[in-house]
Amino acid sequence: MVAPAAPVLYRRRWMPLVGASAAAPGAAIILLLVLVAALAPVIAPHDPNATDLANTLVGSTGSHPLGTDASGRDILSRLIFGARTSLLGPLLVVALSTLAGVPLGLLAGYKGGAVDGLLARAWDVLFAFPPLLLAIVIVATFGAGFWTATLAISVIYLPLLARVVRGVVLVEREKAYVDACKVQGFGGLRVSLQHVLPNVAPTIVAQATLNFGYALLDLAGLAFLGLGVQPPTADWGQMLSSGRDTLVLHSYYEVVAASIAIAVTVVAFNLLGDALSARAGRSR
Amino acid sequence: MTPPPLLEVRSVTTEVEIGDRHWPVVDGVSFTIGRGEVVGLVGESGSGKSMTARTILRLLRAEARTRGMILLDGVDLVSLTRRALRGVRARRIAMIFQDPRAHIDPLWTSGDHVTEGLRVNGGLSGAVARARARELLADVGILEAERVLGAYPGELSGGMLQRVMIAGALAAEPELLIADEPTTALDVTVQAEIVAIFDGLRRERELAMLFITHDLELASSLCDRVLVMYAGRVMEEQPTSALFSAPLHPYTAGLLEARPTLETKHVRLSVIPGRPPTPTDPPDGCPIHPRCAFVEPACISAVPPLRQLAGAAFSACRRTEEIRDRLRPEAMAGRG
Amino acid sequence: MAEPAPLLEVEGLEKTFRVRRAFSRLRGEVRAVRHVSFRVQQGGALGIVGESGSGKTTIARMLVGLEQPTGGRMVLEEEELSARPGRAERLKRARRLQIVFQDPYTSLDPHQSARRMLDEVQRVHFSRSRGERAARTDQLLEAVGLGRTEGGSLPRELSGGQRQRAAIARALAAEPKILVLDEAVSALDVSIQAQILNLLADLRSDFRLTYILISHDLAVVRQVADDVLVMYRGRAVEVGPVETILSAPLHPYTQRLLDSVPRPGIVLPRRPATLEAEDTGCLFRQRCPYAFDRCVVEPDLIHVERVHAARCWLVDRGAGAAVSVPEVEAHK
Repeated sequence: MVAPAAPVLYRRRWMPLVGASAAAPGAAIILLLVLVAALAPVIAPHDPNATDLANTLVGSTGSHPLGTDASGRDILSRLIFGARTSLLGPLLVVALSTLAGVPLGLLAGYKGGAVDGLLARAWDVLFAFPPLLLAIVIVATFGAGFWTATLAISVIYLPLLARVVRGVVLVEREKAYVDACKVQGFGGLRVSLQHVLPNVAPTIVAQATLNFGYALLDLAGLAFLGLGVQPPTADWGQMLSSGRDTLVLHSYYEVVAASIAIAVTVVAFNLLGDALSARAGRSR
Repeated sequence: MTPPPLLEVRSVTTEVEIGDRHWPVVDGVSFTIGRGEVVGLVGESGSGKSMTARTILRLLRAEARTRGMILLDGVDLVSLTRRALRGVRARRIAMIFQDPRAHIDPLWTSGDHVTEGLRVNGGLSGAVARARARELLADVGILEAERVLGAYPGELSGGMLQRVMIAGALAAEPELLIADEPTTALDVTVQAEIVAIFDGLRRERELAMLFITHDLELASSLCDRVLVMYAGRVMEEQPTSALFSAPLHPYTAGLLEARPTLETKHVRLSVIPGRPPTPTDPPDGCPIHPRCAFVEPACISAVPPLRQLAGAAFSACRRTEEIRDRLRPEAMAGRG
Repeated sequence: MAEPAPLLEVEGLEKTFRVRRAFSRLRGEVRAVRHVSFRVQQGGALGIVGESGSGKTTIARMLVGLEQPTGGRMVLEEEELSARPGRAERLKRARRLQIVFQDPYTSLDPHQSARRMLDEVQRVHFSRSRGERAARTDQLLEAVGLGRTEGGSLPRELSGGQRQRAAIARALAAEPKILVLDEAVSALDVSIQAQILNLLADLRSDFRLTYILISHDLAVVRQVADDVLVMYRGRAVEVGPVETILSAPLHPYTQRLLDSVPRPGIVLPRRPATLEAEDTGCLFRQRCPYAFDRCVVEPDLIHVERVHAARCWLVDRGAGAAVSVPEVEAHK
């Protein structure tokens, strides 16, 4: 490859950050959702917690485009406010599992040997449990709620991410430039953090993005079971739970609205994550 | 009167998709291969030699476009249907590649690999195919045929595996064998053995070969004629000994000069300055003009065509007649 | 007349790999390097020649500390190099022995430009100010023929030849005495190879380096090396000055290597391929056209002159060989 002229240089270096056409749809939707969550007090037509027992389970009307729930609260407003916890929860899960999982995966992959063996055994134990069941056990032990549910799912995702990191680190470690660093006398810390990590980062970012969607599903599942976000807080998973009870009474709005919101978000993160994965794969 | 050639490549151009445009990687290439003839295609990376080989068998990605004609016994391969092309690939032209491990299924034994063609295309029964496979392995110099037939690729060395690949390619009794850098990944003693096999095969079976390599000396040991490629074009074509003793193109002369030799240590190796162009950034006029010591303004204004000089010699240099004496190795040695 | 003490002395170097594989017919142990000894003088250039399985790359890796020898010793400037170097020793070794790898496409950190890489090496090894480091970086880039733009580019924007120049600059940045070149030009096109070989010659005198060149290409060895060590299946089979070895070799394997170099119009006779090789006696005897009964016992390196030795009974007049070395010469 011939070195390109100087202006092109800068464009090439920033390319990983700018969205390619494949990443744009997912990224756009996510941006929209974040805006909705942030501007909820401004956008929502009603107070999400304002009950109105005279107008329960009302269908779509002018002031309640998505109707009301069993306590007369506006579903649209609850949907909008629900974006907050429904986005915050997975964000925390991804942040915690990545912050803890990356160092562990890096350690296991780079050091190998006994350290890897030990960590691998530990993860295998965690993997042996069906994830949601494990989360239920944790939550049941420590009490239901947003924070315990988030922590429980984070614990489950930690080995998942660590394994992915370990895998890419194992591959990267064999490359000649890592040998060159060793011959230069660089210590393990410098090599793994300043040389290996930046080169495996795209894969980690891609996986973390995908995990966001999965975490949302898991958290929604816990909320649906009544083990996550507790009423009266507006949350999509929680709305699935309370909406389920009213399904019998032919009031679908709550369940359908929450389901669509969850689905759209998960798809958006999958789109973005897939695009990032493809980009990470190409740059290797 | 010379018999018609087995393969005739006429002004073939292959364009591939890079970014959002199509760029030529093989540009107006023409040559012929007669029955039993070994023709060498030599070039550095990016010269288009491998792409030329793939174009002949149409082993290109869907987005690639090919123009020109490739005549096998008068039949144009470029315009064949996929079905007819499969027949050609199965029976008339065979190809072997640089890295045998990448082209043999590691979960199949060598026996499976060699007999596959015999069974599927030749319709031979298992036992008959196996017997034939043993013969083929013997042809490529494998003595312990039974053991090798039962071995998996992972258990065989690179040289042994390449012999198995050749045996597999010969199974269909092709008329033309295209070998794309078949020895690049092998040790030099193994390379010599493989070259010996090719030489024997062409004598015994009148097998024509297109031998692709970046190693000029290697081409010189096996090939009757050599074509030198650069930036998708043919720069020079001559019978082997003439190419080495009296190259017609400055690029060929430069390549010959740039090689270190066994006999002496050079104070300084003469270099061809600069780098080959990328397909997306072709120079004007003659593609090598930015690096050529004999460049003149006329070299930049138009692409010099490949001209036939006396006999079987072709050169794409405008100034060949004028500078050919200065291109001789003895003369070149005196230069920087 | 006493010779000056060698810069590097390697004695009885051994490396045995244990192969632990479940579904394979491979044996349990691979003796990659078997009792190899050699010396390199300051400013000299030793070429280690061999094919795959010869152990030459393993030797290179042991010299720079990427593999640990299972036997023997390496002595650099009269100080023994530890088989299991600690952190401090690795840093010290880095200032004396550096390596340039074969593949320019994986030997540079894809995330680092040459400038940043050279700066990092200096920060680790030297206590220089930022200005001093930058000045030195400029010097190094110029010495290897990289311009400003290339120095600031990421590896993926550089050609193979440019990357290899960057790799050489990185090695030089540590200011080593010895540069190990592990097939450093093998992956380059002919025209680029010539440029890099010229560069290496210049650097050798400018920086007063000592080279250990690992290569399978005899012509490259001829161009770069003063002395040659020929390796076969982990053993040193011939050692001597480069002109002698490449024009009048003693060992049949060296002869085979030379014969195998492609020449216009000359094709060797066909030779059959064998699956397994003997591990007792002379390791080459299965493929050797001159093997006789004595070859079931492996010879030592027998000296013909002080500087030229071969591990072959043919060299030993009294060994009872059917042919002698002069007759081997005549056979050629």
